[in-house]
Amino acid sequence: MPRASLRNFVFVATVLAGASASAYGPRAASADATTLVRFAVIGDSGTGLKGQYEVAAAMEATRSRLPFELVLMLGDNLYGGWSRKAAVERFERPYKALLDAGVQFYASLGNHDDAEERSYGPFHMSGERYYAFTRGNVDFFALDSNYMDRSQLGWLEQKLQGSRARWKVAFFHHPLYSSAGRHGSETDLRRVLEPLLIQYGVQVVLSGHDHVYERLTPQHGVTYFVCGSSGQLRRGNLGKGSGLTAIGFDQDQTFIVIEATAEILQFQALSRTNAVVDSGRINWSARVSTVIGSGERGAAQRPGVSLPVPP
Amino acid sequence: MCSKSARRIVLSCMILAAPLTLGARSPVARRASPVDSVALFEDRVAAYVALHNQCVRRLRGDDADRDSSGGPTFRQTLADSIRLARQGARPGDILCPAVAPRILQLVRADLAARERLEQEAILAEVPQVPVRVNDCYPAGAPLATTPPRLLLRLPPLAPELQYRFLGRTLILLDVDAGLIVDLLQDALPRHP
Repeated sequence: MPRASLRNFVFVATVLAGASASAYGPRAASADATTLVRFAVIGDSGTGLKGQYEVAAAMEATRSRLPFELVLMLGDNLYGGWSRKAAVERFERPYKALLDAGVQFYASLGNHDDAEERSYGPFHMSGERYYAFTRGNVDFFALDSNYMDRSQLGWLEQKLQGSRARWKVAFFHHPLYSSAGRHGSETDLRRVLEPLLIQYGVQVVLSGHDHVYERLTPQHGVTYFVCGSSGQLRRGNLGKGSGLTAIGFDQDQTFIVIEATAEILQFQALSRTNAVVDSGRINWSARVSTVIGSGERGAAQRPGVSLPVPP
Repeated sequence: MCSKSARRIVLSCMILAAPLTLGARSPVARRASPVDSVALFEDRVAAYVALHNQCVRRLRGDDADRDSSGGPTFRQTLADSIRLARQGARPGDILCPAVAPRILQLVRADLAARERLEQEAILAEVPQVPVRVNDCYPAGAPLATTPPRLLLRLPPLAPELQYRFLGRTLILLDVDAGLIVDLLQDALPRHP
Protein backbone atom coordinates (compact mmCIF):
# COMPACT_ATOMS: atom_id res chain seq x y z
CA MET A 1 0.00 0.00 0.00
CA PRO A 2 1.42 3.40 -0.91
CA ARG A 3 2.58 5.49 2.05
CA ALA A 4 -0.06 8.15 1.42
CA SER A 5 -2.81 5.60 1.26
CA LEU A 6 -1.52 3.93 4.36
CA ARG A 7 -1.60 7.17 6.29
CA ASN A 8 -5.12 7.84 5.20
CA PHE A 9 -6.15 4.38 6.16
CA VAL A 10 -4.47 4.73 9.54
CA PHE A 11 -6.33 7.96 10.20
CA VAL A 12 -9.68 6.40 9.42
CA ALA A 13 -8.79 3.33 11.38
CA THR A 14 -7.71 5.46 14.31
CA VAL A 15 -11.07 7.16 14.46
CA LEU A 16 -12.93 3.92 14.21
CA ALA A 17 -10.71 2.09 16.66
CA GLY A 18 -11.02 4.77 19.28
CA ALA A 19 -7.38 5.79 19.47
CA SER A 20 -6.85 9.21 20.97
CA ALA A 21 -3.28 9.90 19.91
CA SER A 22 -2.19 11.11 16.54
CA ALA A 23 -1.47 8.22 14.25
CA TYR A 24 0.31 9.58 11.25
CA GLY A 25 3.47 7.55 11.49
CA PRO A 26 6.81 8.11 13.18
CA ARG A 27 7.03 11.82 12.44
CA ALA A 28 3.79 12.64 14.16
CA ALA A 29 4.31 10.12 16.89
CA SER A 30 7.46 11.87 18.00
CA ALA A 31 5.93 15.31 17.84
CA ASP A 32 5.44 17.30 20.97
CA ALA A 33 1.88 17.37 22.23
CA THR A 34 1.72 21.11 21.78
CA THR A 35 2.13 20.69 18.03
CA LEU A 36 -1.10 18.74 17.69
CA VAL A 37 -4.29 20.69 17.28
CA ARG A 38 -7.56 18.88 16.82
CA PHE A 39 -10.77 20.72 16.15
CA ALA A 40 -14.27 20.13 14.86
CA VAL A 41 -16.22 22.25 12.42
CA ILE A 42 -19.97 22.86 12.23
CA GLY A 43 -21.92 25.16 9.96
CA ASP A 44 -25.46 26.52 9.93
CA SER A 45 -25.99 24.62 13.11
CA GLY A 46 -28.37 26.73 15.15
CA THR A 47 -31.76 25.39 14.13
CA GLY A 48 -32.75 23.72 17.36
CA LEU A 49 -34.12 20.90 15.23
CA LYS A 50 -33.72 17.22 15.89
CA GLY A 51 -31.00 16.99 13.27
CA GLN A 52 -28.83 19.49 15.11
CA TYR A 53 -29.09 17.45 18.29
CA GLU A 54 -28.23 14.29 16.39
CA VAL A 55 -25.15 15.88 14.87
CA ALA A 56 -24.17 17.08 18.33
CA ALA A 57 -24.54 13.54 19.66
CA ALA A 58 -22.41 12.23 16.81
CA MET A 59 -19.77 14.84 17.65
CA GLU A 60 -19.78 13.73 21.25
CA ALA A 61 -19.37 10.13 20.21
CA THR A 62 -16.53 11.02 17.88
CA ARG A 63 -14.83 13.05 20.56
CA SER A 64 -14.60 10.04 22.81
CA ARG A 65 -12.37 8.55 20.15
CA LEU A 66 -10.80 11.68 18.73
CA PRO A 67 -10.77 14.32 21.44
CA PHE A 68 -11.03 17.65 19.69
CA GLU A 69 -10.56 20.67 21.88
CA LEU A 70 -12.18 23.35 19.73
CA VAL A 71 -15.23 23.71 17.55
CA LEU A 72 -15.32 26.28 14.76
CA MET A 73 -18.79 27.59 13.96
CA LEU A 74 -19.29 28.73 10.37
CA GLY A 75 -22.22 31.04 10.97
CA ASP A 76 -26.00 30.81 11.32
CA ASN A 77 -25.25 29.77 14.84
CA LEU A 78 -28.65 30.82 16.20
CA TYR A 79 -31.51 31.07 13.73
CA GLY A 80 -34.44 33.32 14.54
CA GLY A 81 -32.65 36.11 16.35
CA TRP A 82 -30.91 36.44 19.64
CA SER A 83 -32.58 35.53 22.91
CA ARG A 84 -31.51 33.70 25.99
CA LYS A 85 -34.01 30.98 25.11
CA ALA A 86 -32.55 30.62 21.63
CA ALA A 87 -29.05 30.33 23.03
CA VAL A 88 -30.16 27.53 25.31
CA GLU A 89 -32.22 25.60 22.78
CA ARG A 90 -29.95 26.03 19.78
CA PHE A 91 -26.54 25.96 21.39
CA GLU A 92 -26.17 25.19 25.07
CA ARG A 93 -28.52 22.22 25.18
CA PRO A 94 -27.45 20.39 22.03
CA TYR A 95 -23.75 20.84 22.79
CA LYS A 96 -24.05 20.45 26.57
CA ALA A 97 -21.85 17.37 26.73
CA LEU A 98 -19.12 19.09 24.74
CA LEU A 99 -19.38 22.30 26.75
CA ASP A 100 -19.30 20.37 30.00
CA ALA A 101 -16.17 18.62 28.77
CA GLY A 102 -14.48 21.96 28.29
CA VAL A 103 -14.63 22.12 24.51
CA GLN A 104 -14.42 25.71 23.35
CA PHE A 105 -16.54 27.06 20.52
CA TYR A 106 -15.33 29.85 18.24
CA ALA A 107 -18.04 31.43 16.13
CA SER A 108 -18.22 33.43 12.96
CA LEU A 109 -21.35 35.31 11.99
CA GLY A 110 -23.80 34.19 9.33
CA ASN A 111 -26.60 36.09 7.65
CA HIS A 112 -29.08 34.67 10.17
CA ASP A 113 -27.01 35.67 13.17
CA ASP A 114 -27.71 38.59 15.40
CA ALA A 115 -24.87 40.98 16.15
CA GLU A 116 -25.63 40.35 19.81
CA GLU A 117 -23.86 37.01 19.46
CA ARG A 118 -20.55 38.87 19.43
CA SER A 119 -20.90 39.38 23.16
CA TYR A 120 -22.11 35.90 23.99
CA GLY A 121 -19.27 34.46 26.04
CA PRO A 122 -19.36 30.84 24.84
CA PHE A 123 -18.82 31.99 21.24
CA HIS A 124 -15.45 33.55 22.16
CA MET A 125 -15.87 36.53 19.86
CA SER A 126 -14.95 39.10 22.49
CA GLY A 127 -17.44 41.56 21.06
CA GLU A 128 -15.79 41.57 17.62
CA ARG A 129 -17.18 40.79 14.17
CA TYR A 130 -13.86 39.27 13.16
CA TYR A 131 -10.94 38.04 15.16
CA ALA A 132 -7.95 35.72 15.13
CA PHE A 133 -6.49 33.24 17.54
CA THR A 134 -3.72 30.69 17.64
CA ARG A 135 -3.57 27.11 18.77
CA GLY A 136 -0.28 25.27 18.41
CA ASN A 137 0.78 25.37 14.79
CA VAL A 138 -2.47 26.85 13.57
CA ASP A 139 -3.54 30.46 13.18
CA PHE A 140 -7.30 30.76 12.90
CA PHE A 141 -8.97 33.74 11.24
CA ALA A 142 -12.69 34.18 11.90
CA LEU A 143 -14.19 36.59 9.39
CA ASP A 144 -17.52 38.33 8.98
CA SER A 145 -18.43 37.57 5.37
CA ASN A 146 -21.73 39.45 5.73
CA TYR A 147 -19.88 42.71 5.65
CA MET A 148 -16.43 42.57 4.10
CA ASP A 149 -15.51 46.22 4.26
CA ARG A 150 -12.20 48.02 3.95
CA SER A 151 -11.43 47.87 7.61
CA GLN A 152 -11.90 44.10 7.79
CA LEU A 153 -9.81 43.50 4.69
CA GLY A 154 -7.08 45.75 6.08
CA TRP A 155 -7.20 43.95 9.41
CA LEU A 156 -7.00 40.56 7.70
CA GLU A 157 -4.02 41.56 5.59
CA GLN A 158 -2.21 42.84 8.66
CA LYS A 159 -2.94 39.64 10.57
CA LEU A 160 -1.89 37.41 7.70
CA GLN A 161 1.29 39.39 7.20
CA GLY A 162 2.18 38.82 10.82
CA SER A 163 1.24 35.16 10.90
CA ARG A 164 4.14 32.78 11.41
CA ALA A 165 2.06 29.67 11.98
CA ARG A 166 2.57 26.58 9.87
CA TRP A 167 -1.12 26.41 9.15
CA LYS A 168 -3.45 29.25 8.38
CA VAL A 169 -7.13 28.43 8.57
CA ALA A 170 -9.81 30.97 7.69
CA PHE A 171 -13.46 30.40 8.50
CA PHE A 172 -16.52 32.42 7.65
CA HIS A 173 -20.07 31.92 6.50
CA HIS A 174 -20.33 32.56 2.77
CA PRO A 175 -18.41 30.13 0.53
CA LEU A 176 -16.09 31.50 -2.11
CA TYR A 177 -16.67 28.27 -3.98
CA SER A 178 -19.73 26.07 -3.77
CA SER A 179 -21.52 23.74 -6.14
CA ALA A 180 -24.81 23.84 -4.27
CA GLY A 181 -27.86 25.03 -6.09
CA ARG A 182 -29.33 27.14 -3.30
CA HIS A 183 -26.60 29.77 -3.04
CA GLY A 184 -23.45 28.63 -4.80
CA SER A 185 -20.16 30.49 -5.03
CA GLU A 186 -19.99 34.00 -3.60
CA THR A 187 -18.07 35.48 -6.48
CA ASP A 188 -18.12 39.06 -5.27
CA LEU A 189 -16.62 38.05 -1.96
CA ARG A 190 -14.15 35.87 -3.78
CA ARG A 191 -12.85 38.79 -5.80
CA VAL A 192 -11.87 40.79 -2.73
CA LEU A 193 -10.85 37.97 -0.39
CA GLU A 194 -9.17 35.32 -2.47
CA PRO A 195 -6.12 37.42 -3.44
CA LEU A 196 -5.24 37.80 0.25
CA LEU A 197 -5.74 34.11 0.96
CA ILE A 198 -3.43 33.19 -1.90
CA GLN A 199 -0.83 35.86 -1.25
CA TYR A 200 -0.36 34.96 2.39
CA GLY A 201 -0.55 31.20 2.06
CA VAL A 202 -3.82 30.33 3.73
CA GLN A 203 -4.14 26.59 3.25
CA VAL A 204 -7.67 25.87 4.43
CA VAL A 205 -10.92 27.82 4.19
CA LEU A 206 -14.10 26.63 5.88
CA SER A 207 -17.54 28.02 5.07
CA GLY A 208 -21.20 27.16 5.39
CA HIS A 209 -24.34 28.88 4.03
CA ASP A 210 -25.18 26.04 1.66
CA HIS A 211 -26.69 23.19 3.65
CA VAL A 212 -24.55 20.45 2.21
CA TYR A 213 -21.04 19.09 2.58
CA GLU A 214 -18.53 19.73 -0.14
CA ARG A 215 -14.78 19.70 -0.44
CA LEU A 216 -13.61 21.60 -3.45
CA THR A 217 -10.68 20.69 -5.59
CA PRO A 218 -7.86 22.98 -4.40
CA GLN A 219 -8.17 26.42 -5.91
CA HIS A 220 -4.86 28.27 -6.30
CA GLY A 221 -3.38 26.13 -3.53
CA VAL A 222 -6.23 26.67 -1.09
CA THR A 223 -8.46 23.83 0.02
CA TYR A 224 -12.06 24.94 0.49
CA PHE A 225 -14.73 23.15 2.48
CA VAL A 226 -18.44 23.86 2.64
CA CYS A 227 -19.98 22.41 5.77
CA GLY A 228 -23.42 23.97 6.14
CA SER A 229 -25.47 20.93 7.07
CA SER A 230 -24.80 20.65 10.78
CA GLY A 231 -28.24 22.01 11.64
CA GLN A 232 -30.33 21.07 8.65
CA LEU A 233 -29.85 19.45 5.28
CA ARG A 234 -30.80 20.57 1.81
CA ARG A 235 -30.94 17.10 0.38
CA GLY A 236 -29.87 16.67 -3.21
CA ASN A 237 -28.83 20.29 -3.57
CA LEU A 238 -25.31 19.69 -4.82
CA GLY A 239 -24.95 20.38 -8.50
CA LYS A 240 -23.07 17.91 -10.61
CA GLY A 241 -21.69 20.15 -13.28
CA SER A 242 -19.64 22.75 -11.45
CA GLY A 243 -16.36 20.99 -12.02
CA LEU A 244 -15.29 22.20 -8.59
CA THR A 245 -16.21 19.27 -6.40
CA ALA A 246 -13.61 16.90 -5.04
CA ILE A 247 -16.08 15.20 -2.72
CA GLY A 248 -19.67 16.20 -2.10
CA PHE A 249 -22.30 14.80 0.18
CA ASP A 250 -25.89 15.98 0.38
CA GLN A 251 -27.72 12.98 1.79
CA ASP A 252 -27.24 13.54 5.50
CA GLN A 253 -26.08 16.20 7.91
CA THR A 254 -22.39 16.49 8.59
CA PHE A 255 -19.58 17.91 10.67
CA ILE A 256 -15.82 17.84 10.18
CA VAL A 257 -12.95 16.87 12.43
CA ILE A 258 -9.52 18.22 11.57
CA GLU A 259 -6.18 17.39 13.09
CA ALA A 260 -3.10 19.47 12.41
CA THR A 261 0.44 18.49 13.21
CA ALA A 262 3.47 20.38 12.08
CA GLU A 263 3.59 18.50 8.80
CA ILE A 264 0.14 17.20 8.05
CA LEU A 265 -3.40 18.39 8.32
CA GLN A 266 -5.87 15.50 8.29
CA PHE A 267 -9.59 15.89 7.92
CA GLN A 268 -12.67 13.76 8.13
CA ALA A 269 -16.26 14.67 7.41
CA LEU A 270 -18.75 12.59 9.33
CA SER A 271 -22.49 12.15 9.20
CA ARG A 272 -25.07 11.91 11.97
CA THR A 273 -24.37 8.21 12.17
CA ASN A 274 -20.64 8.83 12.38
CA ALA A 275 -20.20 7.45 8.92
CA VAL A 276 -17.14 8.87 7.21
CA VAL A 277 -18.21 10.70 4.09
CA ASP A 278 -14.86 12.21 3.23
CA SER A 279 -11.33 12.07 4.54
CA GLY A 280 -7.92 13.12 3.44
CA ARG A 281 -4.86 15.13 4.27
CA ILE A 282 -2.86 18.16 3.23
CA ASN A 283 0.91 17.92 3.41
CA TRP A 284 2.58 21.12 4.57
CA SER A 285 6.02 20.23 3.21
CA ALA A 286 4.68 19.94 -0.28
CA ARG A 287 3.94 23.68 -0.13
CA VAL A 288 1.02 22.89 -2.35
CA SER A 289 -2.13 21.38 -0.96
CA THR A 290 -1.99 17.76 -1.96
CA VAL A 291 -5.34 16.42 -1.00
CA ILE A 292 -6.15 12.77 -1.01
CA GLY A 293 -9.83 12.30 -0.54
CA SER A 294 -12.22 9.47 -0.31
CA GLY A 295 -15.93 8.87 -0.23
CA GLU A 296 -18.50 9.30 -2.90
CA ARG A 297 -21.08 11.94 -3.57
CA GLY A 298 -24.25 11.04 -1.75
CA ALA A 299 -22.97 7.75 -0.46
CA ALA A 300 -21.75 7.67 3.12
CA GLN A 301 -19.65 4.76 4.14
CA ARG A 302 -20.71 2.52 6.94
CA PRO A 303 -18.83 2.88 10.21
CA GLY A 304 -16.06 0.38 10.50
CA VAL A 305 -15.35 0.29 6.81
CA SER A 306 -12.16 1.83 5.53
CA LEU A 307 -12.63 4.16 2.63
CA PRO A 308 -11.29 3.71 -0.84
CA VAL A 309 -8.44 6.03 -1.58
CA PRO A 310 -7.85 7.28 -5.09
CA PRO A 311 -4.46 6.38 -6.50
CA MET B 1 -40.06 50.76 26.69
CA CYS B 2 -37.16 52.89 27.86
CA SER B 3 -34.91 52.16 30.76
CA LYS B 4 -34.22 54.69 33.52
CA SER B 5 -30.66 55.03 32.38
CA ALA B 6 -31.83 55.77 28.89
CA ARG B 7 -34.09 58.57 30.11
CA ARG B 8 -31.32 60.10 32.15
CA ILE B 9 -29.05 60.54 29.21
CA VAL B 10 -31.56 61.94 26.79
CA LEU B 11 -30.77 65.54 27.55
CA SER B 12 -27.05 65.26 27.00
CA CYS B 13 -27.49 63.18 23.92
CA MET B 14 -29.93 65.68 22.44
CA ILE B 15 -27.14 68.21 22.48
CA LEU B 16 -24.87 65.85 20.60
CA ALA B 17 -27.64 64.95 18.22
CA ALA B 18 -28.20 68.52 17.16
CA PRO B 19 -25.62 68.48 14.35
CA LEU B 20 -27.45 65.56 12.80
CA THR B 21 -30.53 67.60 12.13
CA LEU B 22 -29.32 71.16 11.85
CA GLY B 23 -28.54 71.94 8.27
CA ALA B 24 -29.44 68.55 6.96
CA ARG B 25 -31.46 70.12 4.18
CA SER B 26 -29.60 73.41 4.02
CA PRO B 27 -28.80 75.24 0.77
CA VAL B 28 -25.10 74.78 1.52
CA ALA B 29 -25.52 71.06 1.45
CA ARG B 30 -27.33 71.15 -1.88
CA ARG B 31 -24.55 73.15 -3.52
CA ALA B 32 -21.71 71.06 -2.15
CA SER B 33 -19.09 69.77 -4.55
CA PRO B 34 -18.42 66.01 -4.59
CA VAL B 35 -15.46 66.43 -2.24
CA ASP B 36 -17.38 68.72 0.05
CA SER B 37 -20.39 66.44 0.03
CA VAL B 38 -18.33 63.50 1.22
CA ALA B 39 -16.77 65.69 3.90
CA LEU B 40 -20.23 66.79 4.94
CA PHE B 41 -21.37 63.18 5.08
CA GLU B 42 -18.33 62.27 7.15
CA ASP B 43 -19.19 65.06 9.55
CA ARG B 44 -22.71 63.70 9.92
CA VAL B 45 -21.37 60.22 10.51
CA ALA B 46 -18.90 61.54 13.07
CA ALA B 47 -21.66 63.40 14.87
CA TYR B 48 -23.79 60.29 14.99
CA VAL B 49 -20.89 58.21 16.29
CA ALA B 50 -20.26 60.82 18.98
CA LEU B 51 -23.87 60.46 20.05
CA HIS B 52 -23.60 56.69 19.94
CA ASN B 53 -20.45 56.70 22.04
CA GLN B 54 -21.93 59.14 24.51
CA CYS B 55 -24.87 56.82 25.01
CA VAL B 56 -22.56 53.83 25.35
CA ARG B 57 -20.41 55.55 27.95
CA ARG B 58 -23.41 56.59 29.99
CA LEU B 59 -24.94 53.15 29.87
CA ARG B 60 -21.72 51.47 30.87
CA GLY B 61 -21.41 53.94 33.66
CA ASP B 62 -24.83 52.88 34.81
CA ASP B 63 -23.73 49.26 34.83
CA ALA B 64 -26.09 48.34 32.06
CA ASP B 65 -26.04 44.67 31.21
CA ARG B 66 -23.45 44.17 28.48
CA ASP B 67 -23.59 40.44 28.64
CA SER B 68 -25.89 38.56 26.34
CA SER B 69 -26.93 36.24 29.10
CA GLY B 70 -30.45 37.49 29.56
CA GLY B 71 -32.58 40.29 30.89
CA PRO B 72 -32.70 43.69 29.22
CA THR B 73 -29.77 43.61 26.87
CA PHE B 74 -27.25 46.32 26.41
CA ARG B 75 -28.27 46.66 22.78
CA GLN B 76 -31.92 47.24 23.54
CA THR B 77 -31.08 49.86 26.11
CA LEU B 78 -28.66 51.51 23.72
CA ALA B 79 -31.28 51.56 20.98
CA ASP B 80 -33.78 53.15 23.37
CA SER B 81 -31.25 55.79 24.34
CA ILE B 82 -30.31 56.72 20.79
CA ARG B 83 -33.91 56.67 19.62
CA LEU B 84 -34.89 59.06 22.38
CA ALA B 85 -31.99 61.33 21.66
CA ARG B 86 -32.97 61.41 17.98
CA GLN B 87 -36.71 61.63 18.33
CA GLY B 88 -36.94 64.04 15.45
CA ALA B 89 -34.65 62.08 13.15
CA ARG B 90 -35.77 62.00 9.53
CA PRO B 91 -34.47 60.33 6.38
CA GLY B 92 -31.57 62.32 5.03
CA ASP B 93 -30.22 63.53 8.34
CA ILE B 94 -27.01 61.59 7.82
CA LEU B 95 -27.34 60.48 4.21
CA CYS B 96 -27.86 64.13 3.47
CA PRO B 97 -29.04 65.52 0.12
CA ALA B 98 -25.50 66.55 -0.74
CA VAL B 99 -24.29 62.96 -0.77
CA ALA B 100 -27.42 60.89 -1.34
CA PRO B 101 -27.46 61.15 -5.16
CA ARG B 102 -23.85 60.05 -5.34
CA ILE B 103 -24.47 57.05 -3.11
CA LEU B 104 -27.57 56.09 -5.06
CA GLN B 105 -25.62 56.36 -8.27
CA LEU B 106 -22.87 54.12 -6.89
CA VAL B 107 -25.38 51.49 -5.77
CA ARG B 108 -27.30 51.48 -9.02
CA ALA B 109 -24.18 51.47 -11.19
CA ASP B 110 -22.70 48.62 -9.20
CA LEU B 111 -25.80 46.53 -9.60
CA ALA B 112 -26.23 47.37 -13.26
CA ALA B 113 -22.68 46.25 -13.98
CA ARG B 114 -23.37 42.77 -12.67
CA GLU B 115 -24.67 39.83 -14.61
CA ARG B 116 -28.37 39.13 -14.27
CA LEU B 117 -27.91 36.01 -12.15
CA GLU B 118 -25.66 37.86 -9.76
CA GLN B 119 -28.15 40.73 -9.52
CA GLU B 120 -30.92 38.29 -8.73
CA ALA B 121 -28.81 36.53 -6.12
CA ILE B 122 -28.15 39.83 -4.36
CA LEU B 123 -31.78 40.94 -4.47
CA ALA B 124 -33.15 37.55 -3.45
CA GLU B 125 -31.44 37.70 -0.08
CA VAL B 126 -32.84 41.10 0.90
CA PRO B 127 -35.69 40.90 3.43
CA GLN B 128 -38.83 42.64 2.14
CA VAL B 129 -40.05 44.68 5.08
CA PRO B 130 -41.15 48.28 5.59
CA VAL B 131 -38.38 50.57 6.78
CA ARG B 132 -38.46 53.66 8.97
CA VAL B 133 -35.76 55.70 10.66
CA ASN B 134 -35.43 54.85 14.35
CA ASP B 135 -36.94 51.39 13.90
CA CYS B 136 -34.94 48.44 15.05
CA TYR B 137 -33.75 46.00 12.42
CA PRO B 138 -36.55 43.43 12.24
CA ALA B 139 -35.94 40.70 14.80
CA GLY B 140 -35.07 37.38 13.26
CA ALA B 141 -34.78 38.73 9.71
CA PRO B 142 -31.58 37.71 7.94
CA LEU B 143 -28.95 40.29 7.11
CA ALA B 144 -28.48 40.47 3.38
CA THR B 145 -24.83 40.60 2.47
CA THR B 146 -23.80 43.99 1.23
CA PRO B 147 -21.72 43.21 -1.88
CA PRO B 148 -18.06 43.65 -0.91
CA ARG B 149 -17.04 45.43 -4.09
CA LEU B 150 -19.84 47.92 -3.60
CA LEU B 151 -18.64 48.47 -0.04
CA LEU B 152 -15.23 49.36 -1.38
CA ARG B 153 -16.78 52.10 -3.51
CA LEU B 154 -19.13 53.65 -0.98
CA PRO B 155 -17.86 56.33 1.39
CA PRO B 156 -16.31 54.60 4.39
CA LEU B 157 -18.26 54.44 7.61
CA ALA B 158 -17.22 54.24 11.22
CA PRO B 159 -17.27 50.70 12.64
CA GLU B 160 -20.46 51.53 14.52
CA LEU B 161 -22.40 51.85 11.27
CA GLN B 162 -23.00 49.62 8.26
CA TYR B 163 -24.65 49.97 4.87
CA ARG B 164 -27.39 47.37 4.53
CA PHE B 165 -30.35 46.72 2.28
CA LEU B 166 -33.90 46.22 3.46
CA GLY B 167 -36.55 45.95 0.82
CA ARG B 168 -35.45 48.37 -1.91
CA THR B 169 -33.97 50.70 0.65
CA LEU B 170 -30.35 51.32 1.58
CA ILE B 171 -30.15 51.79 5.33
CA LEU B 172 -27.49 52.92 7.74
CA LEU B 173 -27.57 50.37 10.52
CA ASP B 174 -26.15 50.99 13.97
CA VAL B 175 -24.62 47.59 14.56
CA ASP B 176 -24.41 47.76 18.33
CA ALA B 177 -27.92 49.13 18.76
CA GLY B 178 -29.53 47.23 15.88
CA LEU B 179 -31.10 50.53 14.93
CA ILE B 180 -31.92 51.98 11.52
CA VAL B 181 -30.48 55.45 11.79
CA ASP B 182 -31.00 56.67 8.22
CA LEU B 183 -32.17 55.42 4.84
CA LEU B 184 -32.23 56.02 1.11
CA GLN B 185 -35.38 54.77 -0.55
CA ASP B 186 -35.54 53.13 -3.96
CA ALA B 187 -31.86 52.34 -4.00
CA LEU B 188 -32.50 48.91 -5.44
CA PRO B 189 -34.65 47.97 -8.42
CA ARG B 190 -37.77 45.94 -7.90
CA HIS B 191 -36.97 42.28 -7.43
CA PRO B 192 -38.48 40.39 -10.36
